[in-house]
Amino acid sequence: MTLLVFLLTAFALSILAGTVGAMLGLGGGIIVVPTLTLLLGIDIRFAIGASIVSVIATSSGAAATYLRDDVSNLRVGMYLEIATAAGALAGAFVGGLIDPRWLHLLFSIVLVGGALAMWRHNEAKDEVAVTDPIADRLRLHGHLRERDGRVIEYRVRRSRTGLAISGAAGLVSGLLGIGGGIIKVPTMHMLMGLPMRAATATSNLMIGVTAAASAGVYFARGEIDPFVAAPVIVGVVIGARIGAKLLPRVRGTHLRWAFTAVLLIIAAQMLRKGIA
Amino acid sequence: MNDPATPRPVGEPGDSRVRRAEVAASWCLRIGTISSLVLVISGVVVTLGRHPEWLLDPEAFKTLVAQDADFPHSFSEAIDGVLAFRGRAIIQLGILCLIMTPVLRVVVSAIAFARANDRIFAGLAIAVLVLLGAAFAAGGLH
Repeated sequence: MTLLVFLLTAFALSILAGTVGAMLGLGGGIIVVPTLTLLLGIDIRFAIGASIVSVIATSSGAAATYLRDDVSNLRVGMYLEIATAAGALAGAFVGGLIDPRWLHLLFSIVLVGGALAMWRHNEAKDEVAVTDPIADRLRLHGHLRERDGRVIEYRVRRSRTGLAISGAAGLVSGLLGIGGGIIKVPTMHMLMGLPMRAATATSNLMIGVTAAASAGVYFARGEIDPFVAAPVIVGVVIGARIGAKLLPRVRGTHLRWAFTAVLLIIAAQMLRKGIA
Repeated sequence: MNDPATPRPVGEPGDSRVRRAEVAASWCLRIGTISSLVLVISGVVVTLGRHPEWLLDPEAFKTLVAQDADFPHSFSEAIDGVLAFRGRAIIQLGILCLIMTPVLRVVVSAIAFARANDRIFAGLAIAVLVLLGAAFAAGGLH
């Protein structure tokens, strides 16, 4: 392996990671980490460090476009961010108390449940009539521009349950070191009534804040190697711009199917860690 | 159909206030990301300009990504390195700039909400900043 080959390969695959991450509201970790460790032989510590930075790059690169084009819901993002940040902080403190194997097993079951729910979710049958005084008072409701230029309004509901689950998502990411997007997107979409594209774009906005808190720690510990992170950052930012441009053209249903597949992949990874 | 909501005209009162905060946050993210990219790319160019032989030497690559590889671990080390025109320090400064971007976005949102007299959301943004500060502090202790 030479630096030239490494820079080009990491750059190319990071473009893919950024595109997928931006469209699904996740960090690109599921592509970045295996690329760096298995394909390019980088130490796992540096791979994780680069992956954390890539979450911020995905989030900031895509969210700039999503906020400008009014796809993400800043108010829902800020509201849920409180619970996520508090949960992540709590997770960092109780981390040593629980055997991670049980957490991995439990979490893989939760993810399979989430995948099933996402697969079977039928938006047409949604209880649009559920009212939510908190969402009214905080003006969480939003709108989304359709591909044909039509603007559709959506009403946010069950904001309190959403807050509780976001707290749990923060806790899990603090404990297991996975991004919270994998929980937040299904919650915002199926429970709180955000259209799929608004949910992934809002998740995108939020994951950067959570990742920034951990990235500071990784940086201070010397786990972010400049030459490992550099091609990843540049590739992911370019990919995130591409993903943000593509998102308005993708059907919510297709996005949901892709997300379901990623849920199953991560559930399998967690299961393997749980029984290993 | 994909989306559950029914078409309705926009223009709830308060819409423009939300919009302003969103646009401010968007600009903040854009500036942060672009500055970081410029620094990271310049750092790579500076390193390769000084050591073009590293590009095709497998041994040099091993040293660059070795467990004990030499690069700045803190803001002050990065600044010292940048002043000495060291490529890796310039990359690290770009990475620090990227890490601070979402934090700055929350600061900008807090200001935008406060200026729009949206006390609840300004408060929420400040609370997120406090939690972030606690996370940085707690991380430093471990």
